[in-house]
Amino acid sequence: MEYLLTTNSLTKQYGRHKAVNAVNLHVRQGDIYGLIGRNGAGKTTILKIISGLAAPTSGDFSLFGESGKGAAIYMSRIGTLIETPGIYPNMSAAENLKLKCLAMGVRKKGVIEELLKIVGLSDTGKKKLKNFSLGMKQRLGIALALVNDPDLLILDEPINGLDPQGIAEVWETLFKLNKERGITLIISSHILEELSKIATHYGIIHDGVLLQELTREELLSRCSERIELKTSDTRRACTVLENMGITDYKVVDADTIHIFERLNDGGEITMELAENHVKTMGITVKNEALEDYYLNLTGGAANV
Amino acid sequence: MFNLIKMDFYRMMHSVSTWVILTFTVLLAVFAVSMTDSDIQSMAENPQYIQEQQEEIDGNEDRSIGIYTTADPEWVDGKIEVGDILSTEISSGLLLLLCIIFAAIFVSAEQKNGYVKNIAGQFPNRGMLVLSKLAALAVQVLLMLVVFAAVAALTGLALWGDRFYLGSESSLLQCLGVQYLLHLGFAALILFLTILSRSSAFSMVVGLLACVGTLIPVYSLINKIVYDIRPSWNFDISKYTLDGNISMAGIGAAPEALIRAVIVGGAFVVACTILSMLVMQKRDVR
Repeated sequence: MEYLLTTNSLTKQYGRHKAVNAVNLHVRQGDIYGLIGRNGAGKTTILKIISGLAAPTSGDFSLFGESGKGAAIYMSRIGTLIETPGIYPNMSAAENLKLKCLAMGVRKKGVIEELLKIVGLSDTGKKKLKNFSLGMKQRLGIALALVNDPDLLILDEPINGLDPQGIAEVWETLFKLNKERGITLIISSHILEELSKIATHYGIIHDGVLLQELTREELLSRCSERIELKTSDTRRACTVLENMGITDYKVVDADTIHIFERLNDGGEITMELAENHVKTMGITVKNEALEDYYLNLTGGAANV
Repeated sequence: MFNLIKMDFYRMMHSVSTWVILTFTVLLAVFAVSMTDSDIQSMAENPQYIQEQQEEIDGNEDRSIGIYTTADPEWVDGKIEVGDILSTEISSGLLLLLCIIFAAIFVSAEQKNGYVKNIAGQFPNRGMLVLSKLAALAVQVLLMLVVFAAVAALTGLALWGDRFYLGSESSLLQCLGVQYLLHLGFAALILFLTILSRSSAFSMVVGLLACVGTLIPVYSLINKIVYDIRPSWNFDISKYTLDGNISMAGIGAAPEALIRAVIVGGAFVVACTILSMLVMQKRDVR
């Protein structure tokens, strides 16, 4: 089985409008697949069809190498969080999880406590969900999706409405699930910059049509993603970088350096500069090029 | 399927609405029997009122709009049978009001807060979600009927003492059994309307309007049309509606009326469940 999930000319039509138009997705086991597209592009509809919540007008999808009724038996191996988390506000987090456990026949002892721990909600006790923050609800939504120990997790806009810290927490949780449990993730978002922090593969969708599928490396090579380093002493900073083995960089102005390699090593660079008494005034991964690439592909900024 | 039923039972037991409705069932039972006692006292003090009540009982073949119970003038001095009181109170539609409210709230909750999205995709046959809800409704309606009957009986005992007696147990059980099926039929109808409209407000309003008899003019119109087409049929649509049968299937009802009520109640449960399952299976989950 080459792909865990493939869609075959998946189409969903509402009246005359094709919300999803002959989409062919390819998701391998272990991928973090980012489905990117602006609002109304058809992301949620695709995810709903794959999650078994909506029927396609035409086309189908195969799951674990099986399609049609054969795929239906694998639906219990999918965990979903579509749009906002579906939760009972007058119940606690544990009670909401208990409901899903009962429905799925999950009887493993301590599973609820374990799931709450994974998403960082262990200390919520009997607190009702109506008193939860949006980020907490979102994390509970992820816990609900994890109840049946899924092989594939489908998350629709999981960072919507979250503050930067909330976003970082969600990404960290999902990254761990992918690395430690080997769960394949399909995550939709309309913010490529955010998705690029975690996704290994991308599907770019626009007006219901899948424009492109590409790997992280392919995307980065087309977008020249970079670290933007602001420092008080660019000269000494360059020496430090070269001592670290970083050669692909460019001094842009008196206090700015663009680094085009080892993009995930921002922390290490900062520490090394500090050890060499070079003050870091700012360090960020700049993705304007990513967004530009996406905008160009989907018809420019006028469409956003 | 069994797992889904367990889920819905757990939800029912942990829902505020379940306990609120049961509390109101207790209060309503006390209120209803107290009002009947008030009627009995009024009849004792005012013989004119006895005549009015008797006329109401004699002319009770045609239903009126609204919810009301009629006290039997014989209860002023004579003994009062438990079955008569329960039959009168339940046939009035008082308990049905609460059944309708609970069914609409319970069924719509899962769709309203989106919890259905967490589970619907996991089951190739989504119709199962309807069956588990029906099972939960069946238990809750039974619980409400038992609580209502028990509290009404205890209130009667407190108010009338030795004058209040059990009477025929089999007739009482027969009446309660038929009424249970009819109330469950109504709950199934609300289940269907809620799933179809995705709105608790719609199903609740339709149910409550039917319960208080606002559909009687519509029934009369249908009866008239049928009479105009075929006078010999002697057709009365109330005999085939849930609200009509609830008001007719009292403890003193003829066996054929009770059998018809059982058939109508059962038919509504089956038909509404099948239709709800079809809607749930065929329609996308929002």
